[in-house]
Amino acid sequence: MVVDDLDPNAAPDAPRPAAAPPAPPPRSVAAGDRDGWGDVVEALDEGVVVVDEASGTVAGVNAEARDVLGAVRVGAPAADLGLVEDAHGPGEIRTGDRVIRTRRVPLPRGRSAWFVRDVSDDVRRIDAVLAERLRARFLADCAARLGVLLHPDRTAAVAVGLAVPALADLAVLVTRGRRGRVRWWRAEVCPRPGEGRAVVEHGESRASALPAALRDLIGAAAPVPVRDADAPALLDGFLPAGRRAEDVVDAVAVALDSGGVAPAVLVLARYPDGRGAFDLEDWPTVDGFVQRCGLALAASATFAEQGRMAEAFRAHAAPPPLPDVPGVELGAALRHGQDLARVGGDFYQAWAEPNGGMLFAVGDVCGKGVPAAGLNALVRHTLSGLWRVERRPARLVHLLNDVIVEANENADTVRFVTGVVGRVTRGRGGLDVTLAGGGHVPPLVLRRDAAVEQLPLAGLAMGVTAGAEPVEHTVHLRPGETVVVVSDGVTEARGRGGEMFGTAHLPIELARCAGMPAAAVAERLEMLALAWAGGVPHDDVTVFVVQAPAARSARHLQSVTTDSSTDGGTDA
Amino acid sequence: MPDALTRGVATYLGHLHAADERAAVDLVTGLIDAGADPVDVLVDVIATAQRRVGELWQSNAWNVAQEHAATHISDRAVAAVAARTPHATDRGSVVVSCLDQEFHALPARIVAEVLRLAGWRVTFLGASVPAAHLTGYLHQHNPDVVALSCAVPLRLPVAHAVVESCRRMGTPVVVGGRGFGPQGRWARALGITRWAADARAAVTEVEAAVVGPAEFGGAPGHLADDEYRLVVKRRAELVDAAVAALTERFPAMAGYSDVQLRHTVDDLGYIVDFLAAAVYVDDPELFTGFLHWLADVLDGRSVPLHTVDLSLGVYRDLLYDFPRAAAMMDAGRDALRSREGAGPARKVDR
Repeated sequence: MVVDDLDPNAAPDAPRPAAAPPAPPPRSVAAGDRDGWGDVVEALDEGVVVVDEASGTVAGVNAEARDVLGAVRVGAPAADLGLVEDAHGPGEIRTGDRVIRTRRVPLPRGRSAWFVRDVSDDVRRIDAVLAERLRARFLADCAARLGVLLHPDRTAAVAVGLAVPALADLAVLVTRGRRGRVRWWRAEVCPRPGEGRAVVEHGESRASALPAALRDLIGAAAPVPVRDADAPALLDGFLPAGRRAEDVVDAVAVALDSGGVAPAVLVLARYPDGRGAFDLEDWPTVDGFVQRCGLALAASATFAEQGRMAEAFRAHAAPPPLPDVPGVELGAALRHGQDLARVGGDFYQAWAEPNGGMLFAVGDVCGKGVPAAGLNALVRHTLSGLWRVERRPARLVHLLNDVIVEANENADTVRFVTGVVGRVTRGRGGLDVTLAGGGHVPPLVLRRDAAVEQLPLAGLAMGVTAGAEPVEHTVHLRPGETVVVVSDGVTEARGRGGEMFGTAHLPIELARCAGMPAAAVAERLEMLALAWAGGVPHDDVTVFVVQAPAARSARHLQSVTTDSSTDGGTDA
Repeated sequence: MPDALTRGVATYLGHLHAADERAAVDLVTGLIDAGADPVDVLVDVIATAQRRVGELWQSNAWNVAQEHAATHISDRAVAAVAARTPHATDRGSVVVSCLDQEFHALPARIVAEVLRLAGWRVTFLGASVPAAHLTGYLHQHNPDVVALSCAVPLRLPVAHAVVESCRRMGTPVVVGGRGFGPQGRWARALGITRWAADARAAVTEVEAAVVGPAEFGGAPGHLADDEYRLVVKRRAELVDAAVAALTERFPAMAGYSDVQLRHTVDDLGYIVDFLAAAVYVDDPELFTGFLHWLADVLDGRSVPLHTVDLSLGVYRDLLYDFPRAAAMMDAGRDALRSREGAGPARKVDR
């Protein structure tokens, strides 16, 4: 690899500039060997050529100089030697991979001494170190950029973008898609002048349209890089608009090793106006890059697969939309706790009865995350079937309890469920709500005058013992009045000081919701519980609200008395 | 703004006041059926009315229940506008998100709908989205752009962290919301260039973000002094000291109800939170702006302002070896004193 920024003067062994005074005063090599200095000069490992400036001819030369410069005759024209001097110091003669550093020191009597040294090995070593440093930095950067990505498309787009311009002028990544198609990402240096960044494009095509060499490489069992003598053939169909096949001076294709998870092939190509063909020294960088891309694609593909599974499960476990029930206003909010999968033990569901009225269930499966969500689905599906044949809440809780006890007998882990089942019917100008509970947080009733009542729903958590006989409780709602069922994620949300939202603050905040529509009550209590918990609650937060609709003219929120005028608060 | 829309704002506000969802929804859908541009209805009617609702709450003319019900109804109205307006979705995908603990979701919701009307495929993640959930969403769905709303400046440090994490994932971010300050000055302070002043500007910024170069930021240099971290760490200590001082100086506090006491503690905590945010973006204006707003709210609730001055003094003493935070305290106290004797509270349009 050619290192562009290599500065010979920056090398640690750079000779001192010519301006430095040479001492001791030089003696003439050609003037004989009065003090034996000629022998010393002849034995030096630095080449010395003495030039007579007036005649422009070589006046003397030592063995090392003959070695470095080839045959040098005394008396020959010095210009033939091609000795050069830089304005700032030593000059360089580069022939092939040899580098000769030359330095002139003026001598008395119109003569100059040229010191010549073959520094090819030093330069090579420094080049190699710098190249290695650049390579390590590039690969570390690639690892950092790719390591945070978990979406296959983003990974592919970033990968080709990283290759340009660091490795190539054009990079194409092709992955195997579905139904005989391939997906590709292409990066090219931005055509706008002054912008060194890569522009990434993305598309799809038929796998059969792929160049044969690439088709063989995608998913090849033992991937070896392909350097086609006919480089443009690797890019058939992938050249950006405005580029022709003859623009590609070199191309290399290599399969990405993702352990078979995400078959893909990367093509790197160079244009003539770039830095020319790939050489052996490029290979370690390309290889390191390809390894990192392969790992990143494998991780992304695996994550995506699991994400699809989680999404399917989540869709299954999420509460279905609330039904429209004439004469009943409903509101609900459910926020999952710390679990990243966004599933959990809390659930609610409502069913509209065909002849008016409705049933609902709100509950909480002990535990968190996917295991709790599994049982939550069982409970909701059980109720979805049961309510068609049994609509008395106490009977439904009884039956549900037996189902969960039976599920527990067959499970490794015993799980309990707390919940409330309610039936809503229209009556006496409002709604009658009949409730039965199994160990759940007691429901609250918000009256028209902002009074808050707690409903005494006793009962053991479901799943503990068979044959539970819960007691039903019926509450009448006048227009504008509301029943609220929350989960313990609301009541037990812990604030900064460890204090729970629950028993003290919930009724006060609910009172301030008097006159709000059902959905707004649900949203507000959810918000307050989340805010209380400082954002992410420890447990799932569920609020379910049933409201007898207020007469349209009766909704006068400003007539509701609350303590907001005296509390000096800024809580909204 | 056309007359129909101007008149619409007043009528709409009346419906919000009566918590009449059906009338509010009928009004906005009626405007659209009469030929109004849905973006105008969203931005110039609903958003404008909601801004007025915020002011009414701030001046204590409306209570919390009214404010919350109004927001809920406007949310329904936005949904109704969206449902009534056909639009193409051929311009790539945008996810619109509020920050963790940001419950003022309606402005972001309106931005989401305006982007949708401009042809983007939009996912709105809703209020208070934990950073982990947004990250998970990006990994799962790889949107072209993230549009991030920050309604209150005290969330700026979190906003900055989220922006940085999106950038590391290679997803461009457009930010908006009042939290970024006048003309987005605190977005710029944090090296965030893609700031949108309103929903219409968000469309332009999102378009630019898709084709523009990737942006990389990093921590602002002034954070090296560690003041931000230490102010946050000492929050509880600061609030406790202020409560103790207030209890000593204002015997009336002994008779406060639990709710009143909690609100006082909340306010004292907000002061520290805003101070921390001001230290984070290194702009005293953030802190003094908050104090003016707090003073207006407390005026509305007849809480004497010198309680705030006393608390600031307590904080100032405890933060004596924090040069930037202490300077902000001084600026804050000056700002409050300049209000006293200046007649009735001025309404700060924030």
